Amino acid sequence: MTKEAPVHRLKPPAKTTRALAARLKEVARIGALFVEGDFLEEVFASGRDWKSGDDINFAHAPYIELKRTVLRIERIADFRCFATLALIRRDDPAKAEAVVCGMRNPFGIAPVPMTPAMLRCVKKGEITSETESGRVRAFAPIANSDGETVGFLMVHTG
Amino acid sequence: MTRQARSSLSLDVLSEWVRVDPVSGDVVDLAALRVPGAAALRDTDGAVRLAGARNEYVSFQVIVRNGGRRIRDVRLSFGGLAGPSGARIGRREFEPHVQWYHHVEPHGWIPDALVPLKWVEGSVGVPWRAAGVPKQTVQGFWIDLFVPPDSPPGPYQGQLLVALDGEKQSLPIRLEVWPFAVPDECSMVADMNAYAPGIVRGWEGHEHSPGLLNAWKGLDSFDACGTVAYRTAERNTFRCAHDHRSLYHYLPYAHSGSIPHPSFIPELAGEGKAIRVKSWAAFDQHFGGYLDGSAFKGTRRGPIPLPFMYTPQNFHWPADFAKFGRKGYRTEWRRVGAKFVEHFRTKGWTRTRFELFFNHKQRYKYFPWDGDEIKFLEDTDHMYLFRDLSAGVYDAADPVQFIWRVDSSWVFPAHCRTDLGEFVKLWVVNSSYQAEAPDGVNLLHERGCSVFHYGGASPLDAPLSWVWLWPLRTLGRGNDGFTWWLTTGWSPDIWRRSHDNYATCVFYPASPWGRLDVLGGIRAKALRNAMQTIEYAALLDRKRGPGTAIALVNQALGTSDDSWWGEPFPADPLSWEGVRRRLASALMA
Repeated sequence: MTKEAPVHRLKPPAKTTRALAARLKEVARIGALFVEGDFLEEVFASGRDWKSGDDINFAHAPYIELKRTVLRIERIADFRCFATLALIRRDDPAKAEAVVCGMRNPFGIAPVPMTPAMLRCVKKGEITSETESGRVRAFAPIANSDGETVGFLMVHTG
Repeated sequence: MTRQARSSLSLDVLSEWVRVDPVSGDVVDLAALRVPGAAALRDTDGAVRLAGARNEYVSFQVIVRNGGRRIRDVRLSFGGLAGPSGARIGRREFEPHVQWYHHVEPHGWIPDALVPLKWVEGSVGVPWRAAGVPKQTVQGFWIDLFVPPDSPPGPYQGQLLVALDGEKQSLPIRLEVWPFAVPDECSMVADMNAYAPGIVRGWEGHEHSPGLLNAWKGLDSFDACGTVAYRTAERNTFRCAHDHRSLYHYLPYAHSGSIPHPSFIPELAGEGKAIRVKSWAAFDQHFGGYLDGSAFKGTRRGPIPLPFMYTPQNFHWPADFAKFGRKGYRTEWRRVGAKFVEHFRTKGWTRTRFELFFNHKQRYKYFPWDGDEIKFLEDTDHMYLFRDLSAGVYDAADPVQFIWRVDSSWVFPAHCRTDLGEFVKLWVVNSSYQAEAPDGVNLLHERGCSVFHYGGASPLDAPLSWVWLWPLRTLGRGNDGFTWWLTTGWSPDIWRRSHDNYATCVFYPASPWGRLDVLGGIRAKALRNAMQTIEYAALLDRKRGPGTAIALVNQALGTSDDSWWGEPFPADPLSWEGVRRRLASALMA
């Protein structure tokens, strides 16, 4: 396994948006195969889900497994890309919250309303993509072992 | 200028502990505390009276009021000071600055940034057009006078000449040099925290300036760190803090664990058992001067190595977190660590304490522990884990000093009673939470730990006494230092506006002047002067025993030992001079 090169040195290849989206969707499809949905579902420490600020508290064991996976997903492509695991908010299903980021956090610290591409991903189980502020990103659904979609993997170029 | 016009002008010479509104001419800091005249520094015969130890700055302000008529050119000039037995303090020891005004809602204009007069001489009037203060009637000048360490004690006198549109006024200056010296080294750490590569923003938008030669135009903030211009600016930041008797403390990694630029770390090659340091060249070139002190040559305090420095070690460097919990993570962490020890030992970097500190927070969604400001005690586990990973590496670095650091707030009252203090030797503690466990400092000192308390720097609309309350609270609590959490939170227009009343900006980039220099403002000078006086306290405690100095401080301020554990109290800024003189008198007794 080759550790990633410094973030500031690698750039995505010059591709058309459509070609880049296809590449990112392929990374998302492969990456999602290796994400344990049960771990994602159990990522918060017991009784401490959906907190903010210093009250956020993750369960160490599932988090570490997911983080290692996300870092490896970022190395699937031969160009620089980033991976993030987001949970559907159980208390507000129209929103998603990034919980495990590789080397970039595209959402920031607050939950975000899901875009049409995210909603299509989690509701229909599709691998989707969108262009947001000129940046391409792809989504793959993550299901738990009962087959319930609990979140998604987002792959993007930063 | 007509006689009538001249008669409406006035010159005030004021203490360094007040600031003057450039429109109303009122003293900002004294509104509810004292009559404005109390800040005047002139004797009945008009002489400016100053006193100070050797090897320290004494400061005062010249306030020019234009009486409603424009003054086009204000110039200050100094003769040397003549002292006992033919001794002299040369004119070059005077360092005059022009005060820059910042608009702070709802208070109006408050001075802080200081521009060296030599940069702008000939263009400063009242109003000073460059400053852009509507209806300005007053312009302040900050004067630093450095008392050289070899100055014989006794009375000195000289002249300050103020020329207003060519009309000269002479002000006698009388300086009493006390028979003791402030040491170059600081006995207390004034820790000016910041995050790399944040200083880059201070020059954004100014790259076109001829003086900056397109310093890093077109580069992002990470690539900018590789330029000569950046390194010059960074060095100037460290030097500026050093000359203000403080430590610029610059965290070299992001919450994700990414490193801003390759020069912040040694170049690595390979992985796992094959991991090695390929080259130290860029790292040494970047940091060597800070660690052997040579970066500080030519400063007033001289070439003293940094007392503390963050290492780049974090959850994701040098070991790859994708291997966390596997043997390869341990291998990478230890092998690179051993190379740090070996290299630093070879370099003789033995005077700096190198901090192993995890600044990561769960809220940023990169890692499962709060390394910084742990709220849930179980998150402390990672510190034991990394201690165990490092056994025989960083704890066997003698004479190089690698130390574990924790920044504790929520759980400090519990933390300080655990065995964490057995191996974590630097505790940076939230000021309020430390007050919940006043015995914590002694518990930690008994284990050989250093203790700082932290918070934010004073915003501009707080009285200047807030500045000196930080070192005094440090003294009163028995701490070893204090931390202002962000001191170079710069934006491209930081000279004009700030989102937090400059609470995260203590120093200023000289970008508007087309320079890579970094400048202290009034709060930075006030801090420096307070830190000088803290050395009086240290000298006194060494001479008369621990606790002597704080007892005298309490007498001077009417405070008690309990006062230092509460929130900042509305102290009269001018009362600092009483503290200073009482400590000086005790030292000279």
